[in-house]
Amino acid sequence: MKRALCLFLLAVFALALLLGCGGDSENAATDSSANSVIAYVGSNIFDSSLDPIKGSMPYGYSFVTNALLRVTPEGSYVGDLAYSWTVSDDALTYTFDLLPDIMFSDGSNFTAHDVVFTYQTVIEHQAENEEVDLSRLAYVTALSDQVVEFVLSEPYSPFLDVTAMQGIVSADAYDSEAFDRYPIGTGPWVIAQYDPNQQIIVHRNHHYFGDAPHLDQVTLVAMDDTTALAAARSGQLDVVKVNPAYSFEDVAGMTMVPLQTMDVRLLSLPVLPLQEKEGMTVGNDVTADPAVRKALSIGIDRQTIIDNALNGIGHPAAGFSAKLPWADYIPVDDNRKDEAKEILAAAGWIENDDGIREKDGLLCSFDVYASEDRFALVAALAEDAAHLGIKIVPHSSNWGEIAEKMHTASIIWGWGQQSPTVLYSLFSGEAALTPGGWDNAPTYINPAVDAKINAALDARSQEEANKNWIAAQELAGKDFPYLYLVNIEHTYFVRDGLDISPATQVPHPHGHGVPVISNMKDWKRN
Amino acid sequence: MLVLLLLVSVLAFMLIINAPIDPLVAYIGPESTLSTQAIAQVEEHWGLNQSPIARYFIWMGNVLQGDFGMSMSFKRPVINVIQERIMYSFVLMGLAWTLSGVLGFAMGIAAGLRRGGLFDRSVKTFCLIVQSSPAFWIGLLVLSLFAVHLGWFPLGMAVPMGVPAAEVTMFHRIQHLILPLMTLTIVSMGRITMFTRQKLSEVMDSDFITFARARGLTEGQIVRRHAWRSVALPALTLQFASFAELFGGMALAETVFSYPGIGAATTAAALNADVPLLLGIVLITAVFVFCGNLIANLLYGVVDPRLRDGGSSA
Repeated sequence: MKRALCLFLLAVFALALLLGCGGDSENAATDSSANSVIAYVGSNIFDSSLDPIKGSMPYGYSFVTNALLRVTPEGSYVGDLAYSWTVSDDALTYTFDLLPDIMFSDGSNFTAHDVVFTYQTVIEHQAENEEVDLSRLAYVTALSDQVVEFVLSEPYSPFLDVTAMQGIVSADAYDSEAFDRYPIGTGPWVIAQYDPNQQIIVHRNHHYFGDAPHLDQVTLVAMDDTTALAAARSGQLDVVKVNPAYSFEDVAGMTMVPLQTMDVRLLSLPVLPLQEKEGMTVGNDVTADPAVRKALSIGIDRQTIIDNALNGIGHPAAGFSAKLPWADYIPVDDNRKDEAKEILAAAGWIENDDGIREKDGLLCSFDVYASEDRFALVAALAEDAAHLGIKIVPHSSNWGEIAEKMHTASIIWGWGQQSPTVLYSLFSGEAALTPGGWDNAPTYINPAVDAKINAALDARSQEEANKNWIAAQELAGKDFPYLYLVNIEHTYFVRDGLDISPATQVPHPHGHGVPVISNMKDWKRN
Repeated sequence: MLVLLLLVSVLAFMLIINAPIDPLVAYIGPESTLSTQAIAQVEEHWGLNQSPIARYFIWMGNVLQGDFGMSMSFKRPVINVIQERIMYSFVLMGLAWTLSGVLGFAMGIAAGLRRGGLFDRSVKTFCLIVQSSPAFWIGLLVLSLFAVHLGWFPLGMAVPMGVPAAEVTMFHRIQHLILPLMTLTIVSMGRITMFTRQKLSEVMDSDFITFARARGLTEGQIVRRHAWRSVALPALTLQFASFAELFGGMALAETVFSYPGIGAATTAAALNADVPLLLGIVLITAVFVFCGNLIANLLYGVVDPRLRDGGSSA
């Protein structure tokens, strides 16, 4: 019996060894094909469709498909499939002139009819597209093969963002099921192979109208986040998304590259005292005091918080990123502890024996609810705010609980997108007191801000819109309904000798992972 | 069987409805600037605006007609998502089940024969460690040892990275199967080993073994001719009844190794509150576990005639 067992174990071991050795040579073979890259950019891409009609890749950069416009690394819009566009005086009609002689990856011609088809299909199936919102688009028509016209039901300046997000697919080839995995577009890449939950292999699209990609093939692999670091160490991957917490680990042959994002982390601070308002319970007695909100904003030390919570990766922020044309960028001037303490004392908040401030028996303390990944940031903030005599109680939470608490407690949010519609969500008094959704958590209602927001939405030009967006942020900023903390950076391990061209990366939108492929056509091996 | 499926689906549905993830939130993302009109359309399309009871009955009605609905995250029919993954899981589970059964039984016998010996003590320690540690952690250990430090096996997935499907060979597939298989085998081996070990020493103390010893048989002969039969039956039953745990272990092993089976889909569905997909998987799992238990019960009757009279009330 024992001998049989020994023999069996020996056989298993021998088999393992045999297969293992084969594996070694296999890996070496993949590595030697120099013009291909294997990357782990998060698994989200495997959990959804690749069809832009169903909301795939809505970030304003080209991958398999192109949109009419695209975002530049500086954050402005330039033509992609369209070379010029005009907006009518009533701000209702948008007309795009399309580039001629563009071909889809299957060799067929791209015309205005493909644009019309794409938008119409999205409107018909709006419920399957959670990224691009066309509810204000009345209709879209092709004036000729090269000109397409959009008519809106009401003025809506962020529509231009939509045209930079919505990838255009081939009308003739469209097949709702096939396009989930093998969409046909005009972009620099074409899906060569899709293995569900394993890998997506893309090849260079030979019909691409722009500069051809340097690489022949890129393989995006699925993986669990917890194994990503181990994967990087194995030497089999060229690009690996890692959490900032692991970014200073040594990985032989790879260098950690932090990339710019437009993603900020900010706390909502309810501005009203606790009350029932229009059937909703809103407000918080501590954060309702403007002195507390202002003292936090000028008194905390954001750099120390970032050092403690994020390994020092990210930039202190007092507003949205300067990379966004509609952002009211405010240079950070914080850690003014004495000034902050004076403000608090003047407002009647006096330190008690425990070092926590009190006013008329009310403790200067409030709860902050954070999704699990942001808990460390709030904990670091709480530690720093304690120096001001403000007690912040961090809670690791989930989005269900956050939805319940968002109007009565402080919540840490992550916002980062090219479209200024986020400002409507954050500051509009019209969006306050609407149950469901994530709008206006602090219940901040200011008619002057609303007027600027509406002026921005109705604007005829981007300049006019941006001017009003900035004015709205300036006005709201005086009341500190939000405490901005950090403009985060996304971290990746990149194999030495592979250039992912940080200069042409667009600032990444919200969501660590996929955005790194925004400029994949510029990647090259040195 | 039908009653069981009905109950399982009701229970699963209630659990998902009460889970701290709102399907709408999961669908549009926690931070979304989608207009209220568009959100209303999403709710309408996926039926999220209806009461949970109405949703359950609509789903049930469709399932009775063979329609398991659309997966909210993959935006494909649930049945397709399950179909293209189930073979991977069946192969993985089938092999792990057999291997853990055979190895566990053999180790249990070997350990039980010399209770208190060095081999017995190391087997016992090993089993206790394995049984009390999460499958996920064991998977990570296996991964970092064999795939990263030793570099013997690929990191994960069922096919080599960046290789066209046409060039993927059987050898590749086996190579990619080994680490998840090893993990799942180790995870499910503990129970059967400990059980066999315990059972064997009980049998070895019984009268008929004492009689066999008196006839001058060696310990090896006793095990081969008598003891193992008495142990094999309950061990086999236990192994069949452990399908449920096997499934749980598989979900985690697949996640660690990005193995494209049904377990990885389960984790993805749960995290995205993909109710239709989760329910579809739950139903399939229920059938599977039910079959395992049924076989175990039937085997009792077949192998042990004493249980057949009125005993096989499976």
